[in-house]
Amino acid sequence: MSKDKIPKLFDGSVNELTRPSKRKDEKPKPNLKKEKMQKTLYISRDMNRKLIELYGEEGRRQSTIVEDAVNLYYYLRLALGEKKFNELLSAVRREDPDFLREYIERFRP
Amino acid sequence: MAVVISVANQKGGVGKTTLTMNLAYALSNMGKRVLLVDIDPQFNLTFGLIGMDVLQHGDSNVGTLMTRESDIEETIVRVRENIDLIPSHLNLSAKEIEIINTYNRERRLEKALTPVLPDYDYVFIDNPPSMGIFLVNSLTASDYVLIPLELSYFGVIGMQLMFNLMRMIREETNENLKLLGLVPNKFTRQTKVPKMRLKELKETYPDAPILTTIPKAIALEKAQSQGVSIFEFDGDGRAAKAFAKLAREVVEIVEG
Repeated sequence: MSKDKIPKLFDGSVNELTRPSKRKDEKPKPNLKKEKMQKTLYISRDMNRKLIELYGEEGRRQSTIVEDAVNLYYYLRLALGEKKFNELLSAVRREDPDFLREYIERFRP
Repeated sequence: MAVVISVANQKGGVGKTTLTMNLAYALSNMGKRVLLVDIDPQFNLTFGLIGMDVLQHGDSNVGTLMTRESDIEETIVRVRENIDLIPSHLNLSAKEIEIINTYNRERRLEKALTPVLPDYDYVFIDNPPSMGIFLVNSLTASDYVLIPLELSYFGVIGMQLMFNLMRMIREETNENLKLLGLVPNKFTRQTKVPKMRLKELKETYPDAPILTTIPKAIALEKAQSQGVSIFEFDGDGRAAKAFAKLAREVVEIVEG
């Protein structure tokens, strides 16, 4: 070995560094889908208007819309990871359908 | 969706700023929308892009953004079509102690950038060589790390320090941080050292993703001193061709 050979200072796997870390295992959840509960939410008037518009137009119950919305939020967040999900949310918050459509077209998870 | 890339190495003078600037130009020439973030208190990237106008950004720079004294919209500077900049400033060093004492100090940059990410394809962060709150913020906000590497004894040491820092960040603040690649920079065949160090590097880390090599070129130095990219200074030269190739490689890895 030559005298000035570079010492090895990293004992991990570089190959491992090129991939995302493994997620910690999630605990199994009990089946709560059939159980119902009442919940009072304080939301802005604008959100209330949108909710009325949705159930008025689509003829669906408010609770179904809320359940779909929460599911959409919950699983998109899991699928994208928190950072990318926050980026998506910031695009949604602009409340501009044309911008959002263009954004989603070049969406990379 | 924007991809955030930190250009980092815990050794100074390896070409972080040159790589950041020219890669941004190469990608913008490909039609990509790029945001540059200069988080280095030495503000070389900012100076290279906007010159003495840096002095006008005392109240709207990456430091004031992280302390929430300025909004991101008022902090972004348009450099040219498809390239925007969040500038650094002379007072950035003084901000460090302020940020260290704030809540959620590792995520200040990430939180600040999120609202504008939908406007870009690529965000490049030019980092200081020192391991401190700015580098930690940058790596926490990033999807990838690109390590410019001088093929010298201390260059390879600095690269290994980055591997260790990346591992720490993946455990503590950003589990999705990935190594995009190593970019051997200032490569020359005038001495045997770079070739020898490259061989040694490949032997020590056979899995290391080594990307396009950037040659040592006077044109790069001259372009920088004139505040222009290598594509404007010497678009047909070896260095410009190497950066264009590197940009295509980055797009291929990131976008598949």
